[in-house]
Parts: sequence; structure tokens; C-alpha cells
Amino acid sequence: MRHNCLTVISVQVNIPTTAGDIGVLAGHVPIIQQLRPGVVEVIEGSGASKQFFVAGGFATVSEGSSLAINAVEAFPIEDFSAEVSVINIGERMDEFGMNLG
Amino acid sequence: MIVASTRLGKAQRAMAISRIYGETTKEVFDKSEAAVPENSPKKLLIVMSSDKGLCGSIHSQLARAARARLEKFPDADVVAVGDKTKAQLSRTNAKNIVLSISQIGKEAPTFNEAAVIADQISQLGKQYDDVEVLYNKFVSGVSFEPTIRPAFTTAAIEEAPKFSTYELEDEVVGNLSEFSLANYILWGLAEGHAAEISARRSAMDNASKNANEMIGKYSILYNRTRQAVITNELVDIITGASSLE
Repeated sequence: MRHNCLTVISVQVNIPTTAGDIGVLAGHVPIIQQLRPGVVEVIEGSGASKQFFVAGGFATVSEGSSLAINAVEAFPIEDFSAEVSVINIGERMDEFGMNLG
Repeated sequence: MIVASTRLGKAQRAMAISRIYGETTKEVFDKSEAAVPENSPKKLLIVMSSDKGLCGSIHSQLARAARARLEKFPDADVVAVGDKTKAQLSRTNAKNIVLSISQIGKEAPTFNEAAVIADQISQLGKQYDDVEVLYNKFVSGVSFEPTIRPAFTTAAIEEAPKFSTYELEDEVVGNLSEFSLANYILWGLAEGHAAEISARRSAMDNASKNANEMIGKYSILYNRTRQAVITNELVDIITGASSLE
């Protein structure tokens, strides 16, 4: 497993949480949210956005508009291959005796 | 020596990252001014060390700190991570040890290992009022100090004076407490690992230096003795030869 840290100054961050998806902008009230598996989207000032898949963890917004996302596992979305993912999902489904149809 | 240096670099990198994880977790507790409940009858002390020796006083200092803590709280339970502290603590405080974990600290620690430890602790099924993580804090390449970091329980988090400034769902608090414990365990493991590798390197350095010194001393002794024997033989031969003249 890789351990990585990323610090960015962003305009908006969209986070998948157990309470639903939320978008965090500057000046958001302090919150603590548990992450559910999904895609975190970080939108920077230039309009560019980065997307990461996170498996779980916590996101905390503290006073002073700082947002910390602490995830068990996180990977850039571009590291995923759509075809391989579909194949893997199929295999896992077979393993658990489920089928997509 | 080269191997030790690369391992130290690796350990220090792992530590730097675990510090960010740990401090991010800590920030919430700092900002909400969480405190250990004053009346905390049931304490748990998690002692972070490893299985391997030959690294100076790393393990014994940690064990000493643990013992000092146990003198204050004689009823506290202890989770010993690593065979070294387990061996040292079981001499004096065997009854306190509720769980021991070995085979840790060969490589730089990972979150998976920390999560497994946290999971085993929660599987003990005991309720603790206060959980403390005791580890060797990496101060610099040549020094470390045993440090105690309180990991807050669900109750302690909920009672924190400023915790209400955060918006969250109630059922998340327990998960937050467990997740932060795993993070703190990782932090402790990583700092302890870096301190250990660095202490081992200087212990090995000193051992090499002492051995080289001994080699020097014995070489001189060997040469002198050899010279003395040669001189003696020469004296014998010359005396013998001159008596024949």
C-alpha cells in the first residue's frame, strides 16, 4: 500500500459520505463526516479538477475553511481502467454467486 | 551500513507521512478541546515496540516509561506490541498484559498493520475509559523519547467542550474514535520504527568502532610479541655462534 499526502488549495471539494454526497466550499461550517466508497472531486481555482477513488475514512472541515480527508485507500481515478474494472467486477460477482442480469 | 542507511531513510519517510495522518486526526481533538476524563477507572496502555534487539536502550526505556505509568495506574490493562517490551513487562507486570502482538516492525509499518492491531484491541470486548499509546518519539537521528499520546474514546470525544461546533451524525463518533485509534497506532509504530532503526544504526556504528579499536590494540600486541620472539631467537643464535669461535 502506498502512503501519500496531497495538499491543495481548492475552490470546491465534493465528497461521498455516509450521509450523502456533499460539496464543501470556503467557509463551510465545521463538520465530521465518514466517507463511503466513492469518488472525491477536488476543484482547483483554475477550474481544473482532480478525482480520486476513496475506499473509506473520514473528512473533517475545521474552522478556517480547512478540509482534511483521511482515507484508508485512495487512488487517482485515471489509474483505473474501465475494461479491467468491469472484468474484475464480473469475477467478484461470480465468486459471490451473483449475476449482473 | 549502506543497508541500514536506506532502511533509515525509508523509515523516516514512513514516519513523516504517518505524522501528517496523526496530526490531521489530532487537529479535530485539539480544536474540540477533548480531554481525558478525570475519573477514568479503566485505562488501557498500548506499548509500541518491536521484536528485535541490538538497538541500544530503545526497548528498555520504553518499558521503563510503561512501568512508571503502571505505578500510577496499577489496574491499567496493557497491550504489548512487540516481543521485547512483552518480555520486559511480563517480568514485573505480567498480570496487566491482556494482549501481545508480535511479528511487527520488520519493515516500515503500514496502515493495514495498525488497523489489525486496533481491531484486535476492539475484539477484546472491553470498555475502556481512557486509551493511551506509548511509543518512542523520534526526536533526531541520535535521540528519542518515550511519549504518551491519549487516544480519545467515544465518550471522551462526545464530552469535549467544543465538539458541538462540529456537525455530524451521532453514530459516526464511535467509528471516528476507532479510526483515530488506528491512526495513532500507525503514528506510534512509524515513529518507534524510525527511532529503532536509527538507534540500531548508531549501536552498530559503536560496535564497529569498538571492534576496530580492539583490532588495532591486538595488532600492536601481536607485532610486539613477534618482534620480542625474533629478538630472543637472534640472541640465542648469536650467543651459540660466538661460543663456537
